[in-house]
Amino acid sequence: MSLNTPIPILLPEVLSHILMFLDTSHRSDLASCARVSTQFNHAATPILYSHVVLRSDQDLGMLLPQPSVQGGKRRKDLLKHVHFITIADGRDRYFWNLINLCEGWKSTGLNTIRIACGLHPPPYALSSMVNILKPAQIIIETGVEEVSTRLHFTLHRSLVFSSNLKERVTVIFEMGIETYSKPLELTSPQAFVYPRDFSLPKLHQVKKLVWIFPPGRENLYEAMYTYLIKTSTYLPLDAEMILVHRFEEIDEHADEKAMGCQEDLDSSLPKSTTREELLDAVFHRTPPIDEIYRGMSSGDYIEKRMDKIRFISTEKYYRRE
Amino acid sequence: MSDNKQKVILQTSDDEQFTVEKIVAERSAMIKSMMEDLGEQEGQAIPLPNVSSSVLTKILEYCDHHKNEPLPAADSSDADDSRRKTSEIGEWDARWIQVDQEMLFEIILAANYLDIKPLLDVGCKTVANMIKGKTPEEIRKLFNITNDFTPEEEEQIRKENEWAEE
Repeated sequence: MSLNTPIPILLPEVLSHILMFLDTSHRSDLASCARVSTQFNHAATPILYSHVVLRSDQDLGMLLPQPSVQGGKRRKDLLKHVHFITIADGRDRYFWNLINLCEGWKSTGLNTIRIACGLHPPPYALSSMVNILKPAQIIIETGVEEVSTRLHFTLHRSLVFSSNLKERVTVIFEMGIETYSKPLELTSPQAFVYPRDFSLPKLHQVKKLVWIFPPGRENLYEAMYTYLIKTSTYLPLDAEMILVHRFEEIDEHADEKAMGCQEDLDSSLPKSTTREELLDAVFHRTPPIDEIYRGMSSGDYIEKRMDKIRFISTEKYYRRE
Repeated sequence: MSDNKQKVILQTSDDEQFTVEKIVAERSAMIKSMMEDLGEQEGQAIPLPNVSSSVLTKILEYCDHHKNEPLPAADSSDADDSRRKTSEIGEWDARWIQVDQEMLFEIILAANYLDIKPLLDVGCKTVANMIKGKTPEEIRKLFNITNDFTPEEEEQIRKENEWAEE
């Protein structure tokens, strides 16, 4: 197989071009190439490190502080190449370690963080990662819808509260076979917010508010009451509100559920079983604050408000263009 | 379409001359731009000092087979991305590239020099497939490379890339 003459193929640009085709699924081949010779090392390293996959505690070793100055510099040089990270271990502890190690990592070229652990990463982990590493894109693959919906909250909270985000962050959810994939673009006046964590006065600036309710059915009505009361009155009248959840699925048990959560709610609220009744109850109970209300009768207000509220199902929301 | 019937003369490193249809020769972005620079000078041979006649014969076979396909956009990075996605090789190309290793490497070098991107990809994919699954020592043998690392250096590199091993 081997040749007796030295091979002219080792022009740096040609060698890089060859190794480019080892990309993605052939990481161990790239690692082998990196050990062949200095020249192979120089060609293979940037390709190998462009997409880092973290699967186990051992993998975190690549981020560990190095004992020597030289080792530290070497590590820095390697991490410079990273523009895509896949995290495939979802344990809390793993994320903690990862974040602690990321602290010293002044990433310049990082573009995408892909979380493919099938679990719910802790909220602090996401916000820390977003703040420290500042990716342009986050991809979440869980294969489980419920998990992704929960991640959705976490992530939005993280993004809304990140002070030094890149201008636009794209969030893509990829959920196995039943894919609801939709890039959510967060731009400042149009931020998608999760009301529980959003300071109310800021709602004045909001043009569009999307509430995405968790599929966990037992506390849905309760959640709706609370969030609607808390936030709707602060929202400018022309702001669009989108309530996303799975009405069609809860309808058959609506009465039951409403009863179930009744004790946690103010007993003056009527037992509401339809969305119209629910909203009606909410708005009558907490009239909008003056600044927005501007002398309108509450009936007029409710009518106007209702015009701007749309209910859509989770599925529709994610499939929307 | 009389334009396509035009001929070009190519002269190899071993001073052989090939008369080739323009549309075939234009697969090479390098020859194409040389022809544009030279203008319509009939009978003027284009010198290819880095390509031997045996390699050019082989490459012209490829260019002739693909002559009616659209040319790749010059230096488009988007095209680069889509090219790198797949390491699959077309059926005809795979049969055509079944040559000895020395010829394979010469084809790649010539494709790089002549700037025939799809051909360079076919060659590089073929070599990449040869690398797959091999140990560093086997790769060295394959390319006839001397290991210029000390055992300590090699061990250090193995350790820093441990995350990438299966």
